[in-house]
Amino acid sequence: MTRRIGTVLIANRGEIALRILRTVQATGRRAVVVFHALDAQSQAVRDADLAVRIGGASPVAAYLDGAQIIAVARDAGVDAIHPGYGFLSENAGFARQVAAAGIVFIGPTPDAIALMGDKVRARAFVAERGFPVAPSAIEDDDPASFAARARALGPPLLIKPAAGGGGKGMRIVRDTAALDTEIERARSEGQRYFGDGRLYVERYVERPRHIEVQVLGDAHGHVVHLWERECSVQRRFQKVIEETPSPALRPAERHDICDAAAGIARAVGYQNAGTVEFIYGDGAFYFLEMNTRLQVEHPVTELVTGRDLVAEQLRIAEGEALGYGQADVRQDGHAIELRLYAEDPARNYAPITGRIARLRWPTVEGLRVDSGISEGQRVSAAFDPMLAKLIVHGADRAQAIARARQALQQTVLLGLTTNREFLDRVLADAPFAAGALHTGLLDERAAQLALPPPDPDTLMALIAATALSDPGLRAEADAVPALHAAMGSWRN
Amino acid sequence: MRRRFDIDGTAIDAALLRRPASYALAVGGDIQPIDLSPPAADGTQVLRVGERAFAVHVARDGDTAFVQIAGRAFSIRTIEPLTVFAHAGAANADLTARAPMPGTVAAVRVQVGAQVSKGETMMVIESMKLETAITAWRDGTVEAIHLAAGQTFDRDAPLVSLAAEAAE
Repeated sequence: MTRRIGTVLIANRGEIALRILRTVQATGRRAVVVFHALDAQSQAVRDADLAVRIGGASPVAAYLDGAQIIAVARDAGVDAIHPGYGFLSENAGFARQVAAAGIVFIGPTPDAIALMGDKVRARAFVAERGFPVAPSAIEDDDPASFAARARALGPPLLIKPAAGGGGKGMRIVRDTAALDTEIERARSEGQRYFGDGRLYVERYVERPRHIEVQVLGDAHGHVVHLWERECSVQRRFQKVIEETPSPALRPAERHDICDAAAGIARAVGYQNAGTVEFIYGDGAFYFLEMNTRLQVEHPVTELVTGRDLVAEQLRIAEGEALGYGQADVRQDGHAIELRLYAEDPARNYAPITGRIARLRWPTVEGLRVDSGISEGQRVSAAFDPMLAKLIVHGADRAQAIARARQALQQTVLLGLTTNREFLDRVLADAPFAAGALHTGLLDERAAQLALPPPDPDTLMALIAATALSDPGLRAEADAVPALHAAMGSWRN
Repeated sequence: MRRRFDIDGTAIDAALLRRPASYALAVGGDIQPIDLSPPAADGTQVLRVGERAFAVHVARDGDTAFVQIAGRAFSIRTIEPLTVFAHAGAANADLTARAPMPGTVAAVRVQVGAQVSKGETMMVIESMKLETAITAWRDGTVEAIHLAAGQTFDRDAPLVSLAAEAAE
């Protein structure tokens, strides 16, 4: 029943490729990494036992080319493929092809991926088994009356692609007069991102919290949850700061939401690591979706439970039993993750490209850095702008926040604009400190979170540092006697 | 030694002056002695401006300096006087729509030579999961489409140009 996995191919890039590689190697296994030419200098490629270059029409296409990656896996004689997150991680067809090639797919069964990947089917499945879902209109039920049924739910509404995930193609509609045009726009985005233009509409909960629960299931029918993560701090439906425990939940609510997640995983017959996402507001929660993979924010769970989720994924994929029960999974202290993005919060979070001219991670107690970047590397527009994650652990939330701020302020990252200063301002902002989170918080607090312009002393210091670090300008100044130079400036 | 320094969009003119032992910086009527120490092992440099001292990190890429000071990073571009002049004289600025952010062209809605009216969508770009319509900012004739659907671009890349308006 069990099958030893000695070599793992990591079908991903950036920080998650390196994070998976660390556990693969630390558990005595060999790591094979596939990479596009743009990633040739990455740490994961340098540290891999074998790195194989892959190509495609675009850099992203290379990492989405399942056939090419399986061919590499066969040639390298790997036992298993870990898909990470994004790319091929929630592609049931890829999981089937991997299995057909006699290779273990580190993740759930293709059927579980397919069920949860279809947001409409997943929602119906969960609702039929008595778990809470939001009022909705589903296009497939009767396409002709879709818009009318959506309108009848009453505003505000949230349009979602049936095949979607990760916030792509989602639209909030507060004025139902705009519903038809927003439906067409969401359809166009759904078509392009997922090759599927089908939609559904849900009643949108104002000021909602996003709370999700980590689950693990083995091949022997055991399912446990590893408690919740609150991921309400978002911009454009994408998470920016995640933490555990959630500051919102009372103990009884925490048990209810975590038990619901484990119950859903059991109903699916779920194996390996997964996350059940809920919307929480006004003391009620309902099912949003299930992500059938490792999540970006999994490290906060690791820091409070002391369990390495990638190691658990490998053990489960080998057919081992979990070997522990729910009572053995404890939440110790508080953990916060900060996603460092190459983006400019002052310009509507526009992604930024450039070269990382200097990079120094600080040493702060309780800090873990999961990074996909190194000094000298170019950050291109070809991939997601997330550069790294700073994850801190503290005895309680206040200590975790203090350590997180220390880590941000001591990080040295030069060469391109990032959201680092913005993250620090969020952590210092009163609603965040009070734990009063919701998914619209960053928009609501935009004015308070905006960076103030530098004061005159700082401007003077910046010009001084710029001028003195410019060898050409220094040489020019050296060539002019001080008296004449000063006179020149007075004349102006 | 006079230069214009562009600090995240704020332009300040200043002059670097040689002093017997060090340098001074002249901004407006204010002249202050300045000094920048060599980097310590961790890359930190001590910057002195008048009586004050700052721990800074400085990295350069051509005419741009990246400076981290008090936990905040800035990029400062040095502009030579000639360049400032050339930019001021560029009259074509309103002829071309440029990319507000890096991204991909999702769709091209017009052809070269087409007449467009103000507000009409000429191109749709996609960046970070959002579609943005590039609309005509005035009535005119499409002179050039700089990118095709599917192509990626960086910030400030030209997207669509309109023909110059005939003088009336």
